[in-house]
Amino acid sequence: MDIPLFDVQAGFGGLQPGKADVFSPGDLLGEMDRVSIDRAAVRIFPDTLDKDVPLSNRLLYEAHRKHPRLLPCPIVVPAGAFGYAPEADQVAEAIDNGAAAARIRPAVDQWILADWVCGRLMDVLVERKLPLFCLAAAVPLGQVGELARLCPELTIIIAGVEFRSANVLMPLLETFGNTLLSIGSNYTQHRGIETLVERFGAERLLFGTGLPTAQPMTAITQLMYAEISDEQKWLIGSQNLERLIGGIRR
Amino acid sequence: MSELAGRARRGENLDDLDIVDVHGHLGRYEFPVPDLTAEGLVRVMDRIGVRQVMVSHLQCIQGHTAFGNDEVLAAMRTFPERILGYVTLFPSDAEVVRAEMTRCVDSGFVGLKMHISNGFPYTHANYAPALAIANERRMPVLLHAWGDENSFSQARELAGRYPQISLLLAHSGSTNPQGYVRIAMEVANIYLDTCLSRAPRGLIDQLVAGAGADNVVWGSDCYFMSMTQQIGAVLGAKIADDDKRKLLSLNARKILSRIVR
Repeated sequence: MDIPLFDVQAGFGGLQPGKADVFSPGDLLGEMDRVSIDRAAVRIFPDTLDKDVPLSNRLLYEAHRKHPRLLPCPIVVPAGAFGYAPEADQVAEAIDNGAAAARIRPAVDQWILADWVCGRLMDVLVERKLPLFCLAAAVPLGQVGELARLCPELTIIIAGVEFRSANVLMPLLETFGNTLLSIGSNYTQHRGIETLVERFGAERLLFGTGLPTAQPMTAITQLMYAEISDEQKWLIGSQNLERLIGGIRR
Repeated sequence: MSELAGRARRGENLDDLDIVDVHGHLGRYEFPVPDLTAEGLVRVMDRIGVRQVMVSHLQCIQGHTAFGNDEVLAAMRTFPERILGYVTLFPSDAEVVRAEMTRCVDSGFVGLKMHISNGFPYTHANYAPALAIANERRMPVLLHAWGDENSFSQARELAGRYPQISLLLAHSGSTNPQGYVRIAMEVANIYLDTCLSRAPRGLIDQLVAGAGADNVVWGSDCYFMSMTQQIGAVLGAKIADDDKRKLLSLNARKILSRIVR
């Protein structure tokens, strides 16, 4: 069975201190083609030198217009102060530009995951059914749990989870049914996919690579050699993400 | 896509490649692993088509090494020719080290795994009896390394003092990939082991381009990490399929064939 792949954990275009080369959207598509990944939900990554949220998002939208296989995961920020459009407008802009999810990075963008700071933003995401992408480096699992408790109707995609984190990850997935896990770098747990599928169902897992930093074939072999059915691979490989995107209120 | 990359993309069994994983583990450590059994490990090997895995016990980064060696020995006996054993040692006493190395080698272990986490340098005098046996038997010795010059310096010293061992440096390119390449180029009996959880894009290409495909071997660090994930690092690398075969099988076969039983 041919398993189509839709990468939920990929990026391009991030500038890094002291590094001259930049991984372009074309480079990303080249890597995707090399290992037969059909589509990707993308963000600017690494985002070490990306502090201007509207500019970063604009780069994503432009890439999507040029390469429809790349679906943006733009950054959203609570608009309680100034400098950002109202939350509803940010989310509407994301959806109008083909977003697969929105993402947050509270520490970088100088806010906290308190209801009185981000409640309105989360309400809008729930209303539009736009999934929220949380990279563990930007939103640690403990914060993801608090967010999932605060917003039980919000779909939260967790990515960049360490393979040593099962003592936190498993209770998180068990407690909060609105969370899904990307199997991309750095989730390299021995028989991890099999265990997660058995405990929580294949519907809770998404295929992700960790491009551009990780070799994408590692996530592919981790999925393709997992001791699960082809149908479960198909769900994880692409269909779960397709389902989430299909549910977005456009 | 190359033939081997295509097969990996489709999840095809690779048992015709005679794959050897030079860096595996058994045993419990500080974070939970869903399946700690040797049976579970062999199931994964069978899914991929990995013929053999060379394992040390995770007590190599703890301290109860004799207990760990016994567990590895039990797995070797349950899965002969599938699970091969590295001896692990705690160098508190040279005679104890000699006795444990002798016991294990006589029981069929094929190599020695050393880790710096016990606070003893690889060049510590109490390791000498075990290294002398490894040298006499032309065994592989797997050293934990993380790109630091101190480890490289000790590796150079061991490789010179025990020229018949095959010295495998773990986690090649974790940091300082140029340092790994340099030492593999300089020292004939040093090989670079690929296991690294994050599997950086382009790293294996860089190691092979720098050190040569004859000097790089595939290790997964299973079941500390996932073998199914780690094999993708080689299968997806931008290197020739013939070089992938060297990393996955031929180089390890050469190392294993040198052992004097």
